[in-house]
Amino acid sequence: MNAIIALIAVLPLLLIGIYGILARRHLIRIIISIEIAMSAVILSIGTLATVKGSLGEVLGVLVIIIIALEAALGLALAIEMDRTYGSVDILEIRKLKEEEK
Amino acid sequence: MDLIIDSNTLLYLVAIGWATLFSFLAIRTRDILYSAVFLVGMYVASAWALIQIGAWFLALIYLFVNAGGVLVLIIFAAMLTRPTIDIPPTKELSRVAFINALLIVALIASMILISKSEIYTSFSSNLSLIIKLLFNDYGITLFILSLAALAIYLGAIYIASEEK
Repeated sequence: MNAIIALIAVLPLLLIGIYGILARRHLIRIIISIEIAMSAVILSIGTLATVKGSLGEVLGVLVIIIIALEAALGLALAIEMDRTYGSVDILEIRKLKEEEK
Repeated sequence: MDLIIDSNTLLYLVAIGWATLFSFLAIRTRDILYSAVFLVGMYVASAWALIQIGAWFLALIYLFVNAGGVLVLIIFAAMLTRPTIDIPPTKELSRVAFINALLIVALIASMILISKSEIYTSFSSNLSLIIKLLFNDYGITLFILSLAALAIYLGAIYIASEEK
C-alpha cells in the first residue's frame, strides 16, 4: 500500500466534512460533518500504521475515544438547545439571543 | 517516488470512493434520519478501507464505537429534536440499505482474506503489541482519557436531563 496515494485519497472526505461544518446550520448535521472529517483523520492515522507499525493503531484508538466523547457532548447540547429555544438551527438561536438582549 | 497501484491499493481507493460518496449524500440529504443511514455506509466503507491497509483492529474498534454507539446517539438526538412524523420507506432508502448490505458482505470477505496475515497485505495488526503499547507505554494517557470520558459523559447526562 502506497502511503502517499492513501493520504491523497482521504483528502476529499476531509474537505466534505469541512464543507459541512461551514455550510450547514442544523447542529446535528454539523456534528455529522465533524464525524465525517474525523473519519478522514482516522483513515490517515490508519495509513500511519503501515509506516510506524502498531503505534499508528494505538493513536487511532485514542482518537476514536475522543470522537465518541465529542459526539456525546454535542448531541446533549443539541437536545438542550431544542428544549430551551425550540430549535437546533444555530443562526435562528443567535437571532433569538439577540432579541432577548 | 513509486506510485504503482496494485489490487490492494485499488480496492482501498474503491472503499474511499464509496465513503466519500456516502459522506456527500449524508451532508446533502434534507432529513437527518436519511443522513444517519448514509453515515452507516460511510462508516462501513471507511472500516473496509482500514482493513485494506491491514489495520483490522482499528477497523473493528472504529466500527463498534461509531456504527454501534455514535450513530445510535445521532438517531436518538434526531428523534428528540424534531417533530415526530412517520417517514414511509422509499425506494431510495431501500436502495441505500441494499448498498450498505453489499458493503458489509465485502467487509466480511476482506476480513476472511486479511486473517491470513502478511499474505494479502504487507502490514497486519499485531494484537499483543497494541495491548502492550496501550496499557504500558500509553497507560497514563489512556487513564487520563478515561477520566475525561467519565466527566464528559456525566456532563452530557446533566445537560440533557430535564430536571436540573
